[in-house]
Amino acid sequence: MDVKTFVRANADRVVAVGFVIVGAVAIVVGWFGVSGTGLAAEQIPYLVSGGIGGVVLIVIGCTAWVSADLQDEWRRLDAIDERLERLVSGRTNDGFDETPSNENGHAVSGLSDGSIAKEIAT
Amino acid sequence: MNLGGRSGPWSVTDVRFALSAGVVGVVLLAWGWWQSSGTAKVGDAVPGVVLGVMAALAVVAGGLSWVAAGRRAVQARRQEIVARLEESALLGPTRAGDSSVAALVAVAGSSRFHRDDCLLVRGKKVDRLPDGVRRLRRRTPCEMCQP
Repeated sequence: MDVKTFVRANADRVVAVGFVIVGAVAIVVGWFGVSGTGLAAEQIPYLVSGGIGGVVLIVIGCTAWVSADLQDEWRRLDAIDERLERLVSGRTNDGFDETPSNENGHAVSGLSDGSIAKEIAT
Repeated sequence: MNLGGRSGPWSVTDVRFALSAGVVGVVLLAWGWWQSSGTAKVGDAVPGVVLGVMAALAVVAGGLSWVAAGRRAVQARRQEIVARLEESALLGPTRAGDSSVAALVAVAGSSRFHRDDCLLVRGKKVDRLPDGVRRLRRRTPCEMCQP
């Protein structure tokens, strides 16, 4: 996968990392500003913009990252929901009322490949 | 509650609240910086710091509510799917007392679940998994008996 495709596929995470990086840079710049002057009154604006501003940006970045994880999980649940819908409607349409069996003739109580259980488990 | 129609885990209210908190935070931060930078007296600059802290709190509150709302919605959706799975009998015994349907079991400490007649669990102490999907979480199906 090339960089462009990766960025496109993970745009929300790239934005999240961007916020965290900018926040870290703001804190470093704020530190330089504070250390460059001996007057407390001149240090306070750096504290507000660089220090607190940097922390705010990092919080936004972390929130965006967790938000991307939740969005991914939602999409996976969508896919499971869709498959479940297909399976259930397939059973109804085929008049499927018998317990399905595997190749050994055993009755199976669930999906033979266990894929939905696997997806929910992960 | 049907959550399937949404394109994401957040409702319009969640989006509005998080955005409002973010905007309030940014405005307070800018105001705080403005307040603290326009003076040479420490005493006059301190309210700017207070505004900055309030800005951070607003953003943190917005972020926390956003994440909490997302987690709640994902959890509710998961439970909805599990309930539908159990309802549709795609997992777990379909009819009580139906001997043709194998029960699902797991060996303690193992990450796999099996049919109760699987050779790999014969003679071993097993736990039955009567709750269907809930207990199957974090377990993988046995490749031999294909439960």
